[in-house]
Amino acid sequence: MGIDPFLLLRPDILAQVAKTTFQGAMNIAVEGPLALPAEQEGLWISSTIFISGEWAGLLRLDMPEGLAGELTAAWLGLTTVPDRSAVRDAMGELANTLAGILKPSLPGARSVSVPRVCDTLKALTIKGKRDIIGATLSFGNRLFQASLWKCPPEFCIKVVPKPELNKVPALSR
Amino acid sequence: MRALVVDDSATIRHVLSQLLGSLGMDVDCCTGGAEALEYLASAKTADLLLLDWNMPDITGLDLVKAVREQIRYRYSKIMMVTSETDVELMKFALDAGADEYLMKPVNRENLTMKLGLLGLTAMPEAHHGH
Repeated sequence: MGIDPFLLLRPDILAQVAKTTFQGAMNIAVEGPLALPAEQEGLWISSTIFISGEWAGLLRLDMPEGLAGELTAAWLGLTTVPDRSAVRDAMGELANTLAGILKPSLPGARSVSVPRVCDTLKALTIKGKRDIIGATLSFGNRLFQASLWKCPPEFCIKVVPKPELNKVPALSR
Repeated sequence: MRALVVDDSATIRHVLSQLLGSLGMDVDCCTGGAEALEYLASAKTADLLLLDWNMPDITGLDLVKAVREQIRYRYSKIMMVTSETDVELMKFALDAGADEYLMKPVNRENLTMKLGLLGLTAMPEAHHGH
């Protein structure tokens, strides 16, 4: 039994993956990981990608709604913030891309779900939580957060909405 | 040249439509598998299809197979657009009839490089007829 790859991941690796995602998708530079937590009050958009397989968990991107709208407008080449559904779709896509880039670092991670996006009233508090790696990032002086959660495999098997992907035949390695 | 983008994400449809349009292509979009299957069954056709791998109502793999079952799409190029970074998973799509895959994040550089591999970059109009 090898070392759980989750134990080798650190906030700076997660932050680097987030930077790569934002730069590659939107040509936007974000900073991090920052030492301070992203704990501003207000409406946040939380995008979750479930990861299933021998390694199971979820990737979560939490961003204040205002910042999410601004970044979405920039991504789509718009001069005004688009409607809520467009912003939520864009945040889901960012989380999806982030999870895809991170997946090879998690041997045994088999498939990723479509994004689940919801509103929250404040950022998730991660510090001190076991089985969660979190990184606070910033764009300008606005903070947001990416986190990777390790979950029991049966949890993610139930929520990943694409069971057919789990039926892909075993690959020879 | 006409391209068909099939993706459940409005963001990706928007981004790909803009990029392909700037390359001189006409672009149609479908929001998922059901709409894509309707498109395939219609009189419309596309020279290039960009298919999402991970959609709520169909897998990209099944969609590739559905496209290749259509005789009108025998010469169309299929590019998978995916956040899947597992190359071996993409091999399933290539074996099923896809020609290329584009890993997210999608941007102009990645897309034009992949179109180049399909021979579609320099003069897309030159490939209008098969």
